[in-house]
Amino acid sequence: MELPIKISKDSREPIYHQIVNQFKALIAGGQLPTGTPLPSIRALSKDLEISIITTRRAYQDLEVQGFIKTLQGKGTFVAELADDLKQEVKVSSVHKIMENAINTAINYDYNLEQIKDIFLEILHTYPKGKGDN
Amino acid sequence: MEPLLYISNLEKHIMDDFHLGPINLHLEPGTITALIGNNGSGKSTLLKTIMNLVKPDHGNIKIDNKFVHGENESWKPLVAYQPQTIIGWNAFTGEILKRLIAPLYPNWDERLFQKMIELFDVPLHKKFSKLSQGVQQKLNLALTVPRNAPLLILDEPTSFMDIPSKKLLIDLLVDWMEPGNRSILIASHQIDDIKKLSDYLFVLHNGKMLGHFEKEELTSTYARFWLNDSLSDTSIPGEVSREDRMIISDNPAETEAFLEAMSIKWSNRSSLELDDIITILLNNKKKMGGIQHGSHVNSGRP
Amino acid sequence: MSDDFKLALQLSKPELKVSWSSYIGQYLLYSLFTFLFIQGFNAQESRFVGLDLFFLILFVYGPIWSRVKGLQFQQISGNIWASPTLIMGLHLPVKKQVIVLKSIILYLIGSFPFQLYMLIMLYLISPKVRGIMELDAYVSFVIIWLSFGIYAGLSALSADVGSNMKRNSLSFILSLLLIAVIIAFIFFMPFFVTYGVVEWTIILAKKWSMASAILSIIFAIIGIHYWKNKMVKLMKNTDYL
Repeated sequence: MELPIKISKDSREPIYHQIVNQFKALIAGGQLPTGTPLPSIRALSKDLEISIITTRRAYQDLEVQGFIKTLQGKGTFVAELADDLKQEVKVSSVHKIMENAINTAINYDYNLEQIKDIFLEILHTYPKGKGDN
Repeated sequence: MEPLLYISNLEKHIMDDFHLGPINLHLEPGTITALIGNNGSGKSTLLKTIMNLVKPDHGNIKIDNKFVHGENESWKPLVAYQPQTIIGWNAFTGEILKRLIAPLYPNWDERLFQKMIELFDVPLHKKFSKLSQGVQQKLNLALTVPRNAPLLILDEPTSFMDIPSKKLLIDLLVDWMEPGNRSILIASHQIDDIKKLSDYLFVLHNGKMLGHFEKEELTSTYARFWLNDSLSDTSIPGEVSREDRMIISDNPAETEAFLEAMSIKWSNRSSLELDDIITILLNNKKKMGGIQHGSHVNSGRP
Repeated sequence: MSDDFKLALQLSKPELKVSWSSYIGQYLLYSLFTFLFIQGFNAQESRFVGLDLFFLILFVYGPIWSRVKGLQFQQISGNIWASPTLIMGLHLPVKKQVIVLKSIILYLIGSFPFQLYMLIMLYLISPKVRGIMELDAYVSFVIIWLSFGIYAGLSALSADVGSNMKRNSLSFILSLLLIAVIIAFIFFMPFFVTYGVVEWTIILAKKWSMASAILSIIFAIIGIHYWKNKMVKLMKNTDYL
């Protein structure tokens, strides 16, 4: 199974961290519902072109935090998440992405007021109906 | 965990002009290690020494805690070895070879063998000598991987194979590793094998071991900086190469600290591809004439 | 039957299977030699020393010559020449003793029946040979030569193992000299000791039929063990690069 996980080797965020965060987002966002089987550590390592040491660490983190569970001899599955945990992940991942965007803008020498304008402009031109729920 | 393969202080002198070692290497079950090196770096010699085809001058090799170079040969069923050039198969057909090899391995996987023969489209009734080099390699793999020995040693197994078959093999090997207690040691120049399969890189240069690296640890050791202005010839800590405004460092943290301290601006910092890193590792050795360098070279992991 | 022997038999099957053409060749070769030796015996009065040389060469090198393509000696690397199937065995989970045992079994299968065939035909066809030896002496003669084929012939087989001793010009010249001396000795033997090698074995077979037969069999048994151990030892010390 190909997962929509993309890691950036240029990022300062450690690779295993990137994997953990993206899994969390996929699980909390419902793209990976409870019980979905996940690729084995070896298979995911191959897809992401990283070592199993890194992948194993990410899976261990996810398991400790309750996002996935491993059944001996059967594989790894998405665990059932409490609603507040889901909520927390959603909030934090949106926050993180916004923060990244702001960082990028600041790197291009925009000030906060200008960034706000850009943000409002995007919201304004955002296709109607898509965000109305 | 007990290492599956244990090599300590291995040394071998061959003729007057080649010296292998000292080599230290531990392989744990469940891992894939790519054996990398320039041509003539001693990769095949190392693998042959592990197989007791070449006898070491110094040092020990143990497979599953059994000495390889002793009287007892009970370690042999624990290794499946595919040499770079196979000798002795020419007179036989694939079918005859299978009937010879399969009974020698208690865990022989007939289904995997049949699957590989089918996927690779290998004729079993043709003499080995009549097959093309690529098909010979395919048959060789189909007769090696299904042995299901805990340690699989492959010496440039795909050099003559077509691209789809190479990809197929990577998937087969990933599947083969699933049980979690097997290990692969693969000598390869194929960057895909290194990127997609390996967890560790074991790098040799002219018989000397440059190190045994975990893949991400190695990639994180290198970074490329694009500076806003070209520099005078100030030397920068960690710098391994420079092309105008681009600097490659094998110690990004130090390099960055230095650049900041000197208030030198840079527009971009990126990581290097594995093949670039390998190139740097092997080329720098050449320039430095085989002297050990860099803090990241750890000879033999604990 | 010991496990080693069983495994060695199992390992020799593929080689037997692909060797049928060489066995037909062997049959023809030995038939030709039968004819040649009959002529040789007939010409014995005129001292045909070629008979001795051919006899020796056939019993020592005959079995190694007639291998099919793919089983013949092959350059393994640099300066190692060895039997390719022996190298194949080294890559597999097979003990060195078993690999050697397999070589010996195949050697005997590829030599013994043909040598026996030739010696029987010699007796049946040639009235001259029958005239020289009674049946019991001839049986002893056969045993002497078949045993020789084992203890001397296996020395040629031991080259299968290969070795990577550096060939310097001195040792090369010395080994050439040695071969020249042996050939010269065989040629001139009749002048020193009245008779040639084959004639001497005839004399032994006639005078001490029982003793020479038993002694030959003992030599053959010792020879098998000696060469087996020698080959295993050689394997242990050779680098198959």
